Amino acid sequence: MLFMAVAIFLPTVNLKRPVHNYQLTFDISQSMNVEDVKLDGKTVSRLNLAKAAAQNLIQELPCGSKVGWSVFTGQRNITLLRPLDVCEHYDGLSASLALLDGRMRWFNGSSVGKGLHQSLRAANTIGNETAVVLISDGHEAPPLRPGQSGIPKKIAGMDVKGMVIGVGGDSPVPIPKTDNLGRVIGNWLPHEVMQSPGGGGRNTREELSSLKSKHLIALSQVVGLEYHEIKSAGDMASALFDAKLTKIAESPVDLRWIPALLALLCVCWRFVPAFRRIT
Amino acid sequence: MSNISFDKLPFLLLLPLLLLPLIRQRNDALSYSWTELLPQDGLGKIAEWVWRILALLTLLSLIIGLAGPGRSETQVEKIGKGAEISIVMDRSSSMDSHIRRASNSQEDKTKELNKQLSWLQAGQSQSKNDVVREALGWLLTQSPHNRYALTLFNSAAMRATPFTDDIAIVQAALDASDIGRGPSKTNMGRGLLAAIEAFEGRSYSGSRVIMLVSDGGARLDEKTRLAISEGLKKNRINLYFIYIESSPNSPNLETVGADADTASEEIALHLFFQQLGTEYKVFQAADPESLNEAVQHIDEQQNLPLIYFEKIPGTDYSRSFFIAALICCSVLLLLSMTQRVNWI
Repeated sequence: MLFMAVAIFLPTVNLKRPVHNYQLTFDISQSMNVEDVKLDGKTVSRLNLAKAAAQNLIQELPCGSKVGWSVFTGQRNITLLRPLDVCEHYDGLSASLALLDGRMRWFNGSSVGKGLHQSLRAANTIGNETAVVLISDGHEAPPLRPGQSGIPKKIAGMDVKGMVIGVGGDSPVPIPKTDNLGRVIGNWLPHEVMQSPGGGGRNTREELSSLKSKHLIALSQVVGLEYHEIKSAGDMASALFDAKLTKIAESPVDLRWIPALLALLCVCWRFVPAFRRIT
Repeated sequence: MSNISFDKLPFLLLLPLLLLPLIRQRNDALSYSWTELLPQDGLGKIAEWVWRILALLTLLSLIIGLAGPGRSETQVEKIGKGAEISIVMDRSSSMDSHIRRASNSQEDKTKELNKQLSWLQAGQSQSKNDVVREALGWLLTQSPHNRYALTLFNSAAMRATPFTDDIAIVQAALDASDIGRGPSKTNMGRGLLAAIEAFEGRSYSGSRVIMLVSDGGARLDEKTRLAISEGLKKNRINLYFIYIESSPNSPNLETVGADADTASEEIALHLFFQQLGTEYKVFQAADPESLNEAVQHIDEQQNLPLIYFEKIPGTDYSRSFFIAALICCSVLLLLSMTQRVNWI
C-alpha cells in the first residue's frame, strides 16, 4: 500500500540524461546536385542523401535533443532555423527540412572552409553546447591555390565540437548546371569553371566532382572536428551516436513504475499459492 | 476523439497475474482436519468472493497503471479570426546595417545623437534586422492563431518554414536570421514568387496575406512581374509592403503619386504593386515604433474567419489507476481484519 501511495504522488523526476544538440549545415553549392549516391536503391543527388540523413537523425534522436539548420554556398552561411526539440516539433522540423533545395543557392560555387568556419561561429552564437554537423562533398569552387588551407585559423575562446560529414561518390563526374528555377540545363564544361591555379594553366578537371575526403579531413583537423563519410541515410545518425557529442541535460522522467511494480509484487506475494504446505 | 493508447505496452504481459487471487489454495489458508465438518458460512462465502474480486481489481489497476494508459495528443479544429500570413523577409547584408532616423532640425539631431549614445552605452545598438525580428516576433506572440510561413531572400529565395501550426518553428527561423551576415545582392522577384509558392496546393481557409519586409526596392523584369501578378490573383493574396527606410533620403512611398519619377527602385516597385489589382498597401517604417505600428495595423485588418487547429495535449491516466488500486487495497486490508488468521 505504501508503494501505491508513492506511485500516486511521485512527480516526474528531472534526471540528467545525455541529449544531442546539433546545428546541421548543408552545402547547397552546385556540386551537391551531382547524382552519384544511392538512397533506397535509387541514385539521388548528394543533397537529397544529406536531407534523408537529417530526416533520419531527427527521427532517431532521443526527446530533449535539439536540431536546427543552416545552408552555405559561396562565401556565406545562412542560418535558417535555430535548434528545436526533435520530439515536440517533429512535424514542423520535417516540413521545413523538406523545403531545403538547390534553389536556395545564392551563389554557384562554394568555399567549404569558409562555410565550416562560419558554422562554428554560428554554433558559438547559438550556445547551449550546440555541435556543428557540416554536410559537404568538399568540392571547392573556385579551387584553392596550392598550400592554401581554405579555412581561417580557429578563433580563440571558441570551443565548438562537431563532425564533418562527407557525401558523394568516389569517381569524378560532371556537375549539372541549373537555372534560377532549379531546372537542369546541361553540365558545367571545362572552360566555364575556374581551373586550379596550381595546375600551371593545364586543365585540372575542376568541372568534374567527386567526394574530396582528403580536403574535408584536413579542414576538420584544423578546427578539431571529427570526420565521417556517409553512404546511406542511417549512417549519419549512427556516426553521431558513436561520437557522443552529447551534452548532459535534465529532462523529466517518469519513475512511478518502480513503486507501482513493487506494490504489484507485494500484492502478488500475498496470493502465491503455498505449495510447500501441500503434502 | 479520444484514442486510448498504452505507453509501455509490455507491462500488459503481467495480466496473467490476475489469476492468482482466483486460485483456491493460498499460503494463508488454515489447515483443518476435515472441511466437511466446518459449518456452512454464507457470509464468509460472500466475503471470500468480495475479497477475490477486490484483489483482482487491485492487480488489474496496478498493471494497467503500469502500462501507462493515456490519450495521445489530438487536434481540434476551431474557427477563429486571423489570416494566413506568408512573411518575405530581406536577408541581404543591407538589413544588417543600422536603422536611421530622419532628422531635420538641429534639436532632432542632438536627440538622435543622445539616443545613439545611450544605445551604445547599453551595448544594444539595433540593426534593421533586429528591429524587424522584434516586430515580427511580437506579431507571432500576439496573434498565434494566424498561420505563418517564413521566406528569406537575398539573391535567392530561401523558404525557411512552410505554413505551419507550430509557431515555435517560425519563431526559431525568425531568431536564426540574426546569426551571421547575408550576401549583398537581392532579387526580390524570387523572394515574392517563393512566398506565393507557399500558398500553392493549400485549400483556401481564410484571408491570405504576403507581408514583404525590405529596405529596398527592385526593378523586376517583365516575366517576373507577370508571374507575381498571376500568382497573387490565382491564390487570392493581399500584399503588404513594409518598407524600411534606409536613410532620410529614401522616398516616401505612402505619399508618392502615380506620376512619380520611377528612377528609384523603391518607387518603381511600389507603382508595380499598385497596378496589380489585388489589395495592396505600403507601410513606411523609419524607426522601430512605426514598424510596430505597421505590423499591428496589418494584424488588425486581417481578422476574417480562419480555420485553425488547436492542440489538446495528451493526458496520462496512470495516476487514476494507481488511486483505484490504492482504494481496492485499503478495502482489502479492512476486510482482512475481520478474517480469522489463527485457530487461537
